[in-house]
Amino acid sequence: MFGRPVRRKEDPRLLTGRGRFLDDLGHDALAAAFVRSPHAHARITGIDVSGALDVDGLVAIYTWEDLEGPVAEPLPLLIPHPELTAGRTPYALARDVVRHVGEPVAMVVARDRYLAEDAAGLVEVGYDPLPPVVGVENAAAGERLVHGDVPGNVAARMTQENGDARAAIEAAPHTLAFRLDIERSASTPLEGRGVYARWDADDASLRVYSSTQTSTSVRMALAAKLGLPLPKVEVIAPDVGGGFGVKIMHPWPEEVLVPWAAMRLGREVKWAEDRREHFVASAHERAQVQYVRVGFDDAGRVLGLDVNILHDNGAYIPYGLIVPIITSTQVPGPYKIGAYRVEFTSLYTNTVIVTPYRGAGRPQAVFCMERTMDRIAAHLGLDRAEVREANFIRPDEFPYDQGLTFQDGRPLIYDSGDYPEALRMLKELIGWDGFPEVKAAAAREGRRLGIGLGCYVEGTGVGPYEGGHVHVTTDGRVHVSTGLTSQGQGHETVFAQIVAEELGVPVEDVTVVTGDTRRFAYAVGTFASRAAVMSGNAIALAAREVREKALRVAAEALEADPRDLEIAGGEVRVAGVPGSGVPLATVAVLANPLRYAFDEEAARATQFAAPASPDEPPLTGEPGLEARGYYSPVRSTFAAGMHAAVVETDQDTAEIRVLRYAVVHDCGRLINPMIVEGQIHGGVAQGVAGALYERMAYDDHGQLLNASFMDFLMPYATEIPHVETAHLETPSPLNPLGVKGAGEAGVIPVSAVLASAIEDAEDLPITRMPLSPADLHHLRHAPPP
Amino acid sequence: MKPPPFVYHAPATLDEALETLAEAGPEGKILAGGQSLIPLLNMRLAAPAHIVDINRVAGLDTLRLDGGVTAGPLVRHSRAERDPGVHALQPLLRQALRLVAHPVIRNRGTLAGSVAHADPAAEIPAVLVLLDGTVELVRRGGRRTVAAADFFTGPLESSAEPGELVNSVFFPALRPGTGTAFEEIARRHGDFALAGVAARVTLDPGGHVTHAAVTCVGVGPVPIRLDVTEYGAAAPAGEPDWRHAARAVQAAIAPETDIHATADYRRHLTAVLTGRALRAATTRARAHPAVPPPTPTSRRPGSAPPAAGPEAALLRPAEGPPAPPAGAGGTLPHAEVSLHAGSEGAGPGAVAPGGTGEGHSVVVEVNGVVRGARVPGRRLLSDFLRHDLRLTGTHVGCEHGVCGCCTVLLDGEPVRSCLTLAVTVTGRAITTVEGLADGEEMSPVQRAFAECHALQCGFCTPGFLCTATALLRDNPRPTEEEVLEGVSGNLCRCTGYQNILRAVRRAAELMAGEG
Ligand SMILES: Cc1cc2nc3c(=O)[nH]c(=O)nc-3n(C[C@H](O)[C@H](O)[C@H](O)COP(=O)(O)OP(=O)(O)OC[C@H]3O[C@@H](n4cnc5c(N)ncnc54)[C@H](O)[C@@H]3O)c2cc1C
Ligand code: FES
Ligand code: FES
Repeated sequence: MFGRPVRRKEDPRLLTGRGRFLDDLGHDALAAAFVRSPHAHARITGIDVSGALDVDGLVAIYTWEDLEGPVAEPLPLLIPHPELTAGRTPYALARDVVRHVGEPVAMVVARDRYLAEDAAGLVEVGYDPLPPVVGVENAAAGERLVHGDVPGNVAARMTQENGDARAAIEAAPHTLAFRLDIERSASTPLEGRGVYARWDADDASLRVYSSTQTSTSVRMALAAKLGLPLPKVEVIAPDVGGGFGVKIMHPWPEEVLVPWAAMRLGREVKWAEDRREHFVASAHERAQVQYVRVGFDDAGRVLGLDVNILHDNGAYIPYGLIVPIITSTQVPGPYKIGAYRVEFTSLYTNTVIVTPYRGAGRPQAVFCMERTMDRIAAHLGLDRAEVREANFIRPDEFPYDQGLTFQDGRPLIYDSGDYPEALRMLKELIGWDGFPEVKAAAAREGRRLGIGLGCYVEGTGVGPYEGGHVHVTTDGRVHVSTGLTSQGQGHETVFAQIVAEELGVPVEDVTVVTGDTRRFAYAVGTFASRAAVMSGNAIALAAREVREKALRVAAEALEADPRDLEIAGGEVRVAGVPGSGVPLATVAVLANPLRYAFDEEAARATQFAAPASPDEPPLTGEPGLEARGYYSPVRSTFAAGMHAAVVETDQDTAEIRVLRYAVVHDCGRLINPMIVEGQIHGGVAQGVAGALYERMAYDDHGQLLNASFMDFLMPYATEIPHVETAHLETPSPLNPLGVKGAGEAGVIPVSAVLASAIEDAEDLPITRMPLSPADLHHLRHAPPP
Repeated sequence: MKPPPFVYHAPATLDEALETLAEAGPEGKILAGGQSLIPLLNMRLAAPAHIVDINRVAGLDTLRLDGGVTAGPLVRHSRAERDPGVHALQPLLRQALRLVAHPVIRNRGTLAGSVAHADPAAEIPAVLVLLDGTVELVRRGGRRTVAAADFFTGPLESSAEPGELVNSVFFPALRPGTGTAFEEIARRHGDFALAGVAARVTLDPGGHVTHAAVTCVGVGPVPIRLDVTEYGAAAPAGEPDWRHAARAVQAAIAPETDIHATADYRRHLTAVLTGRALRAATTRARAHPAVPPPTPTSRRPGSAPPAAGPEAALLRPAEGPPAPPAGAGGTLPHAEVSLHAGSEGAGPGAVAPGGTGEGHSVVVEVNGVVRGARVPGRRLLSDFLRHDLRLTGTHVGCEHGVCGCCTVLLDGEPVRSCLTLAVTVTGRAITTVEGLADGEEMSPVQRAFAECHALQCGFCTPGFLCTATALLRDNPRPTEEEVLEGVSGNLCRCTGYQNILRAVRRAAELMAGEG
């Protein structure tokens, strides 16, 4: 089972329209809509709801004044950090000041969404506009402030250094200095956020469905905010139509307000975010300006690297410093950097908040490092692949300590990898060495081609932990649950494969539930390519425990030594002797000593059925054939990969087409290669999108000019290249399954790779992403610097 | 993103429609295909007090081929694009229509709606202007014909007055010795163009340019037409050098900068596209020589030759119906196309919408079962299916027509349910993802999607399945390009599309029994 392209268990329901996404639930619930700020920065002078009161079907309108207790306080700062000295978070509904277009100001509840929007449109809010801060450099100038009490708009400034980078650069035979710009983009799942709450007044309990990447933490946050005992709150992530990071942020204002309103009104309330709201009221990522200084020797070996990053964190910083920390620590990638210094400044702007989007700071890091590698190669007249090769950590140097502190607060120590081999495979796959002829032949036809490459190392599977529960019921079926959530990664299939492998049962007999706190209440969430590593290992550990228990119980029934037994084909039997054992179903029955028989199977476990030793207690350990397992790693495991692309740029129109895209990928042992490939395809597509199409276009007033799919250019099939993949497996020594994460890999180096390829085609330095045909046109015609 | 309230009218006759429009005045909006109007309503950028839905008016879907193409208000893009008679008479229409949005949008959008909407980046207005077409406007008690050049007055502005309805749009036929081309650059396939150029070149039998003109889109408030005959006429026969024309066009336009392109870049593109379009049009003109055509014969659509692409037309000009002689409009053969498809009133259980107030009875056959509910006029078909009929397999990802998650089959044709009012389609048959399987047996398309791992979160999947199902029904052995074009109007954020394309090809194999 493990390692096979098993077809997905989730597909039949999703293919026949029987998936249950957030807005598929709660048809009779009241609908919420929000009055949102049209200003990037303004003081609220008054809110007049009288015009909305006549709307037929209106149930309630709430403003900050109506909130009470912890709901009226600012939302939590989710990931505190000692350097985050000026952390500011929003109120669930704006109090006095709005700080970005889209910030919720009032909540409307009505019979349906049409009416709720009608009423929201009739609420009149008076604003006294304040000067907006847009763009990270304006923020850094500090002339205008997003938060009056945060001087210079600086949320945090943080430095890490391994060696004396500045001295190393001074002493190096060659030095270069340049600036890189990366624009904002966003996860943009096709399903927006959504919350549906049911308050049971008799039971004083709350059930919330949320389109979230972390139901367990939403549950704890809601219990705290709403003052409910934790056991009285259940949170369920139903089928989720994509997350890519944005749904790890929580609790959203709406996520608190919808349940709060449901409790107040004693009615079911639902909010399904629409596309425009998603653009202006969820979260974005990526925007950074990077100043790079590098010193290197004649072979292109980096002796010193000094990177200064201005990071745009938006109007508030509820998710803390995770993104810039990841950028700063993943810059070194697969390379041994002589000495490295990185400093970031995380700055407030009057724009939507910034939280992780697939890659979470890594695409920016790789853009920085790989642009640097290409610059070095160009400066020395060396082959770009050769310069990378010269800097690689060698396979015999693992574990390799980069001398930095990673996003989990743990030392940045790589567990395993084989970078030279990956590069060799990549060059072969894309035809690196033969490309000059290809390029020359194309040039003879008047076509402009270029090739580029990029390498990355990705810390995956961060802690603190995940858990899994495996339960064999008396019908022989295996029920698995884990607290983290799924947004299309195929967890139901992958985790079933792991359990099928461990328990020797057919994969069809295993069902998996994720993200339902009724089934598993302890979890962290799905992000940072951690599900397979964390929950996968936790579930494997639980399954191993179930297996041991099954062997023990069966050994008693068979009067055999458990060490002679195995589980295969759904029965526990003497190793290698089919038909000699008891079905797993029966073992499950026997594992739970009973007094009452409700069916024939159960009768086998009752007190007079089996002669038990009168001197032993009927139950040793816990009843039932089930176990819980937890996996908590010492530190992250480090996946790696290398991508290459061939692009064609149109000489006349400056259109950019990706002709070929090749990926060599190492995520340790593959559980399901089909699913891993799918993750890579999707990641590359998002990478191409971020490199060539997507950006958040804010004007100087802080208005998002492209808050629709008409103008935010998410690519269609016609814009995405075919991806050729090859896999390398260097198992992780850190976890029982030897796996590393794969969820984000595809996206990470794409901007760097395409910049490299366009630069090769055009012979022009590419220093910003995304790059549109208009941008390329202007680069071509820019006066020489 | 839901439409604001409005009074919904579904007149049954043109007179009734004009009467209602006259009464509504500036507060009335005509609803045709809805592919521009409904996004504006959903985003609440438009809030007309009255919507006059003309989809039920009989006889508005006439397509006349008579000295040109005369399209009534309900002639959909897709029909004009596919019709071989239209293509033979005026190939520029198909050349342009293939650049209008995506196939699914074209299944609803109308030629008249495109013209009335007067988007300066739209293709059809440019075609009309280039061809010296006309727009016939009717209102209560009046009728006038406006030359294309006078019709477009500004961005989304035309000389149509409140109360007036575009009753037909006339695209004159291609003249002998004439070739046309439409070239544009869009950021994504199917997007509105950053810049686009329609060109028309006429050669005399000796190969000299006697007339050449271009119309530019996306670079001004209206389609900009420029006569470039002088640049071609100066050149020797067969060798017109259009570079000067391109430069002249570039100098004559004043585009604006927006988030997608700078004015400079647009100007540059327009020059490049002018050259490309004029060259392509010249080549086609040569293949469509100004020699007297064979004797014209009247033709009904049933006897039409198979649809031919522009290339095919170019290679086999004799197969299409003859081009009318230049300037001989009045004596041309008359071929009136009778119409079955596209009329909204027919179908099982047709029920007239409940007048003008709130609460219209909508009855549709969904997946073979007749279902109904009373809903407000503004209820979107997507919400009607999902929330009134509780068929939640159809998803909603944008509510402005771009993502394709909401695609369902309307009488077998894929359409965006978020850009369709439920009440518009009362009486018609709808297939949703829930209706694709045969009982518990998944359809070949569904099976192929599972086999090829063509879905991850599954949110976009219903739209892809419906689109692919219709594609393979109409074209059981599509080429790779046809598959790509077929699904090019659906977004997926998870899969990178590679496995979706593979799955559609695999489904074709399964349907052909090769699985
Ligand atoms: C995703 C997407 C992409 C698109 N891309 C393109 C593109 O690349 N190029 C392009 O040209 N278009 C594009 N469109 C627009 C599309 O072509 C529209 O369908 C078309 O412009 C309008 O036709 P309609 O019948 O849908 O008009 P409607 O939306 O019904 O109406 C549009 C406007 O015209 C008025 N109107 C309609 N019919 C009449 C009439 N007979 N008389 C008077 N007024 C009338 C309406 O009142 C309304 O104001 C796109 C649309 C979408 C959703
Ligand atoms: S196209 Fe209808 S929801 Fe996106
Ligand atoms: S499978 Fe998730 S959007 Fe397509």
